[in-house]
This record gives sequence, structure tokens and C-alpha cells, in this order.
Amino acid sequence: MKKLFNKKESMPDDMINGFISAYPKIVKKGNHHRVVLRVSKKHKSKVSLIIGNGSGHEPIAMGFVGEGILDANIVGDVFTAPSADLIFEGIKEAYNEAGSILLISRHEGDVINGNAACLLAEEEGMDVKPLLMYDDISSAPKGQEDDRRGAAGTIFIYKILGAASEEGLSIEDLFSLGEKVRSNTRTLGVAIKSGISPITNKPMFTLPDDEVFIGMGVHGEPGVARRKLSTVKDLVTFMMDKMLEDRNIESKSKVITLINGMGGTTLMELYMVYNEVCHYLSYKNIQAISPMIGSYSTTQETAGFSISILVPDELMLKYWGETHKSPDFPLII
Amino acid sequence: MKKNFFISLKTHFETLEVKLNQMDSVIGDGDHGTTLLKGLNAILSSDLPPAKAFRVEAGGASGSLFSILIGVIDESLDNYSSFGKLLTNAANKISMIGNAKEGDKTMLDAIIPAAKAARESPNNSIKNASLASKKGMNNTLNMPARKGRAKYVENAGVGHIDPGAFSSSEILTFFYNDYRLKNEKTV
Repeated sequence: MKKLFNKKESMPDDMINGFISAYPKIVKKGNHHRVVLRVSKKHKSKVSLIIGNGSGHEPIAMGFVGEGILDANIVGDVFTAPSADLIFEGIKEAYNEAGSILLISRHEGDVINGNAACLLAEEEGMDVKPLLMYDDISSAPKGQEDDRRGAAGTIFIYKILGAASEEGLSIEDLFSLGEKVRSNTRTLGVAIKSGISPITNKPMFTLPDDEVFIGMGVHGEPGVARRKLSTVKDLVTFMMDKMLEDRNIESKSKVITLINGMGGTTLMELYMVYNEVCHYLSYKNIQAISPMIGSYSTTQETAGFSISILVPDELMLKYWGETHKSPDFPLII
Repeated sequence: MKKNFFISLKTHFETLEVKLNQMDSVIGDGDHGTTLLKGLNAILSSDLPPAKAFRVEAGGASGSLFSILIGVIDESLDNYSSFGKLLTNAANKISMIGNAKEGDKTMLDAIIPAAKAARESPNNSIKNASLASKKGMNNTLNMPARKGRAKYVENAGVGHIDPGAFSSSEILTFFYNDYRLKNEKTV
């Protein structure tokens, strides 16, 4: 299988170096070479927002460091959660008097090491709260939401808390805002072709040419069901039905959608998906507003996409549209 | 004195490495034995306190979780009477960090019963913790996993003992055997 690298082990560091060189006015390396920090000064009332995650999913999360979104990202090895001590290092470097929220996308390694890092910080007298993020409806049934995995819909939390923290919201208010965004978010993904794992240099799963996986995880974890590949309209209708079964949306509501490509799906296809999402929602008399469309949470060159929906309140809507300075987050209009 | 204990614990886990990896390959990554050994080696080669040395070097989720148990052993070697309390705190901490409880088919199935036994029998806490951890470990054989990758394998791992429960029980039993030998000498 073909993939570019100098040495497999140096992939994350070579990537970080390129990223920092590209945007020196926005991001910098911390004392530890796996800690990426924002350059601009923060007001002391700003709660810092931090996340640690395995690399290989860019631009999430490194690309979202910058004013208005994340204060720091701790970059792990490919598909591997950073250690508790490394996350703690990042927490220390980005710490602010107002405290910190450590965002954790709900995957076993990230949860355990993130929680352990918060305990280490607590032992040093720091105020760090871990906020678990989960949205993938295929990973656990309705009623067991807190058993679900984190997927692309976690991006709503990054952006909304990022803008809110810049305004000086307290750590308690930010935390409950984050929980509210989480409970109003749903995501479902489909994969049509496997990407190549940089670890094994092999495809992560196999799938017949005429089938799709419903509910693929971000590391190529098995999906919940297979389905014949059909038209975009048919696929989107199936996915939207599942999501609205999981969380009812009243007619006349406004909905923010994120159409996320997994790395190997074209923007042409993603806009076609959005077109069908709009048709679907308008049929239900729901208004689609301020979408985000592109490949933001990726699994190498995996072909496929996910749809995330957020039912926002006025405050969320305001923070979602706020300007920011982070290299890889789009303009929200 | 303490160093000798960690040397012999490491030697013990050298003999278990292949078995632990094998147990883990059925329901996980297949590196549990190697990961623990990496951490145990670090205790001997590093100037850091044992728990931290273990955590940094073993890495991953099991580095964070098992370092807590290593911390209990390290502190108890200085003061055996605090063992029950320390093990109880550790069980709570592991449960909190891992978002897991007894019955999820994890290391907690060995540690929670061990902590309970230690609390309930202050005069025999180390021995009873070891016995209870073995029993708890054996109970994982027929449990379906509710945590980690084991959740996604066929039958959720039913029919296999959880490697984390097994190694936890091994550590507690090794600690008991060491304690017994030291005490027999003084009798």
C-alpha cells in the first residue's frame, strides 16, 4: 500500500513541525514537542480548553488550536491516546488562573489517560475538569447515550466552548454549556472504502464493492450494519431517519449540520450529501442553517462521511458563528 | 529492601509475559504482558517514584491504571497496616478513571473484592486480599466484557479470563508471598 512518510515513527513529529512552520503567528510548540499551543495571549479570566488525542485524524484536533477555539492540543502517536503524563504536561503549559476544561472524545484510551491526567493536575492544586464528548448513535442504543463514542459531532463542542471561553464564561457555565451541546448533538457515519492504517500499512477493514458500512468508528472499528450502496438520496434518508428516531426534532426548529468527509471522499460528494440533507429537513419543515462541510475528522484515506446535527439554542448559535483564528477551521456563515 | 521486591516482581512477570500476551490477544491488543514488563523495568532503571516510573514508561491506558496498583504496593511495603485503606482508595480511583465497576470484566473484578476482603479482615488483610483477588479473577471467565476492545470481540470475551484481572491478582498474590516470607523469618 502507498503512503508518504520518512520514517513511520516520525510521522506525528514531522507533521507537527510542518504545521507550526506554516502558521507561526497562530500556533507554537510547547516545551514538550507534542504540545501545540496558541500564540496569542489569553485574558486571565479565560478558561483554557485543551484536548489530547491520537494523531492520524487531522485536521482534528491540532488544526483547531488558535484564538476562539482550542488553547492546546496534545498530539499522541498515530491512533494512540497520549499518555496521562503527556496530557498533564499540556494542561500545565496551557493553564490559566480561571481553570481548564480537558475535552475528551469518548474512546477508552483517551478517557482513561485524560481522567488520570486530571487527577495528576488535581494533586498539584489545579482546577481541571474533564468533559466527555460522545455523539455516535451507532455505538450504543438510545437510553445509553453515555456509552457512545465520540465522533465528528464533537466539533460543535470545540467551537462553541472556544468562543464562549473567549468571552470569559466561568468554568461551571462552560461545562454545563458543553453538556447541553452534547445532549443536543447526534452523529451517524457511513464508510464506503477503507483507508490504510499507517501502523500496519494495511486497509483497516474490507467491504464488498457494492456495500457500505453504517456506523464505522474513527479507527475503523466495525460498523453496526451493512447496506447495499444506493443513491445519495436513499443513503441520506436512511441516516436522517435513524438520527431523528434517536432524537426527535420539532418542525420549525433550526438545525446546524456538519457533513464530515472521512478523508477519501470528495467535496463534490459532500455537497451532494448536504443537498439531500436540506431536502430531507425542509420536507420535515426543519430549517438547516450555518453548516460546516468538509473533511475535518478523518481516518486517513477512508472513503465515507458522517452527518452530525445540532439543535442549537440562541447562545449556541451565536458562539458557533463567532469569528476565530485557527488554521483549519472554516468560516461559519 | 524495596528495590529487591521490585526486582523479583519483574522477574516473576518475565515468566508471565508470553502467557499474558496470549490471554490479551484473544480480547485485546495482545501486548498486556509486554506493557507491564516495560513499566516494571522502568521502576528499576528510573529515579522517579515507582508508580510514576511505571506509568510514564508503560504508557497507554494500562500504564495509568496499573501504576495505581503499583503505588499501593510501594506504599504498603513501608507500612503494611495501611494496605487495606490504600487498596480501597486505589479501587475507587481505578473505577473513576476507567469509568468501570465490578462485573465489567476488567482488573477491578480482582481489585474490588480484594479491597473489600482487606478492609474486613485487618489482621489478615494481605492474605485475604490475595485470595479474594484470585476468586474475583476466576469469575471473569464467564463475564461478557462491557469495557475496552473486548466488548467488540465475538461473545464479548465470554470463556476467557480477563488479562487485567489476572495480572492484578498476580501482583497482589506476589505481594502476599513476599510478605509471608519476610514474616516467617522473624517468627
